[in-house]
Amino acid sequence: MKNTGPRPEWLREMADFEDSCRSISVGGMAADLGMLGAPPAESRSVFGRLIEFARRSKGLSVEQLAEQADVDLAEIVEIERKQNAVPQLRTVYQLANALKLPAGKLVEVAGLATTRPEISNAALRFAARSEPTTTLSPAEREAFEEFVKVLVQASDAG
Amino acid sequence: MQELLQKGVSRADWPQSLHWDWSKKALQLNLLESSGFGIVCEQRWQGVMLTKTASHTSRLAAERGKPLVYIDYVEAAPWNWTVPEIGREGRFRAIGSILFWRAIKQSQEEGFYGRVGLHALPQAEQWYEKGLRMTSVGRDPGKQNLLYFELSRQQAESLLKEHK
Repeated sequence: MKNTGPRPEWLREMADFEDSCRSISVGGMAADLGMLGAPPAESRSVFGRLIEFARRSKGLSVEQLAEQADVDLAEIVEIERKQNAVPQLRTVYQLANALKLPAGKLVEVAGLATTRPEISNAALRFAARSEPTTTLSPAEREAFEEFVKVLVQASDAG
Repeated sequence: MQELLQKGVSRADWPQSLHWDWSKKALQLNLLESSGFGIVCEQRWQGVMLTKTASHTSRLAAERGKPLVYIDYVEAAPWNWTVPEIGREGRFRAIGSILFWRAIKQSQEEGFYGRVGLHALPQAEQWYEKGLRMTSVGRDPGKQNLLYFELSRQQAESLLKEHK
């Protein structure tokens, strides 16, 4: 039978690279079977930071936002501070309403719906350029406004 | 896995895997378009791969819509994982390379000119991009934002020509 396999030298070279990688696994079937679990944590942490920036840009304290949005104070603190916080759908809509952000897109950023590529990319840019401080610096404000612009555009388009 | 736990290796640093459990995956083989491949050595399965030939087409601009072999699942057996954190080398090596080669050959046999597509788990992205030199097409919201990779006809032909 004719040998149709690769050369041993190639396999040795690839074996070294394969060993240096953490995994060779693919996830097509796993995604279809719902085996991949929750969406990446980064989307939730970006959500928390976005809420914090939106609140601060309006000059609101956490308490004031909780009151205006009719959301439990502890829940907002958790959203803003906890990496893996999973907000309730109602909370996302209440916050969107209070902060004048597009609710449907905010649900995507919160990781409660499938995120479209343009929103993921904008979220990553926002995360990379933002640091939680007391007041918004000009650079933070620019990053925040750019992200909100993408959300609004995606909302209009979709 | 017990070794990883005992050595206190952070869960995030464990090799990403989707369980060496065939009860769910075997059901996939009932579909007409699915094929299963495996490597058996020392009377044990050392690596397995499931592919599909009908439900996925090329997403590359130059080959959009053309048929390809889609790797739905591929995995090396856990005892073949190299895990530096616990100083362990895999029992058998190059499992992923051998199975990927088989996928290209299947694609040729089907008349798909070696085109192969897959969604990599995050830890495996480097392997498919730098190791196998597939083209990264972008994150796929329909597959939980996994990065989708493709091997084009030209890439497949070059790989086979260089390394056969």
